[in-house]
Amino acid sequence: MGILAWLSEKPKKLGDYVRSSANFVVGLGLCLLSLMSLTEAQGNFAFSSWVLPTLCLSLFLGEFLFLDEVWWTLTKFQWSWSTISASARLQAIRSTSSRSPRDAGCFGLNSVDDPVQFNYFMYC
Amino acid sequence: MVGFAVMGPQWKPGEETNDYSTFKAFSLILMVSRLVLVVQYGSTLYFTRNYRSARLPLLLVMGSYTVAAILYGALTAAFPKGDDYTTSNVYIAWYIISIAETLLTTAVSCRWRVISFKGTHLIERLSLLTLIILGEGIIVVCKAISKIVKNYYIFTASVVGQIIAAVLIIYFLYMLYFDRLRDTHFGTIKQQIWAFLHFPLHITLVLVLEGVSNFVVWRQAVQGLQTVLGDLSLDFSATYDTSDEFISQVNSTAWNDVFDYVPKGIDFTDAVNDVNSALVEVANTWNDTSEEAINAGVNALNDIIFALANTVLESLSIEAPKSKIKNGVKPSQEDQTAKLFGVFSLVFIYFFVTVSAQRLQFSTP
Repeated sequence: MGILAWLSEKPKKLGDYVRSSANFVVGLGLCLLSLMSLTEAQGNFAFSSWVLPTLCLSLFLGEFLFLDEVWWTLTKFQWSWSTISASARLQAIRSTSSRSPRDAGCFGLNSVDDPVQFNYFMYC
Repeated sequence: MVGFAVMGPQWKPGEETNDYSTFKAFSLILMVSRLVLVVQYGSTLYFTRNYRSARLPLLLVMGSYTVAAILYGALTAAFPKGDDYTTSNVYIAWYIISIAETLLTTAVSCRWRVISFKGTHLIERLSLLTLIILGEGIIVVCKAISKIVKNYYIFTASVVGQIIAAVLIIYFLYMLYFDRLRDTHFGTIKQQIWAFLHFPLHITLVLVLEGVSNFVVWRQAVQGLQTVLGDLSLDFSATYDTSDEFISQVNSTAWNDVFDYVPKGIDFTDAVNDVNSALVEVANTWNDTSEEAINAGVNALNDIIFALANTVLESLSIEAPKSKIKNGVKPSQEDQTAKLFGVFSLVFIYFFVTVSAQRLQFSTP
């Protein structure tokens, strides 16, 4: 499914890579569980109630803990916090200046002609 | 499809046989299926005859299917004739022809984009096929539950937990597949590779889901075995004063825990006979303290345990290939138990291997 997903859409975000790595590690671990059949541990594990819950929990790990949405939500939270802060600052600037927000600058940066300053304005 | 369904149970390539009629019939079915495809593409060609760009690729595809049909038809004559038991490798030609025609069709659709997957609903169809397989998974889990119910077992917390875990596994697999599925065209060649890769995916899905249902049943079987072994108080020298007391206890446990609850259609007369014979053996050796008698008694007790264990497993439709009678000696209950547990070991190995194969597929960035 990972190959299928990769074919349909290449990974772009850090979350994609983190999830893939986690799936790889968990998949390898599950594969190694089959080696239990070479030892007496198979009897202990296979006859216990934990076979299906083991797989279920591993899928849960792959699906939720490393879900894109989790990373997206974290990013969104960070973005929202910055946006709220920036909006509040812009409101304050608007109330004290008749100039446009860009002209007014951000954090005391009076010019937005400089690309570095402009980027800072966009992300502050 | 009917041909495949008929052929499936009799598909034993490489085995010696004197009857190749099924193989011949299947070759003819393959031939007819290709001829039907030729007719279908022919009708498409007829209705698109005014589109010059579609003519050549359609003719090429029709040509490849016609050649394949001829070859499939010719192969019927290649299978051995007569009453002699022989092996034949002619069936390998089926694989070669089908791979060749697939490659040719794919190459044509890559070269002439007018008959490629672009603009078709291939993604939707394959995702629906995946959904059907996942739905079949729910059905096999339900069948596992019905096997438990047929045996009048009361659902315990661990069995209920297994059922919940089984359903959650299917749900998570569904989410893992559909969460990262893009439903728009993403390149002709890429999409064909994507379509091909669904074959191993579906194989692993089927195996995982079958394994899940097996583990639900096995959990109940383990509990059933634990109940029987718990109720059989086999420390007979300490617990029982007479052989009659011991026999009565074992017999009542065998019937109350196992034989009374075997569902209809399952033959357990062999197990009952073996238990009865073993009880007679125990009675005969009860007061005998010779080493031979003690060994005979212990073997009889083992026979009882294995016979009851086999009945518990087989009443839950856990089956192993039947042992053959060698030199007139019937296989023992112990052999059958070993075979049943061998099946379980096989399920355990393939379950985790296929699950991990899926997870490693998931992990590809």
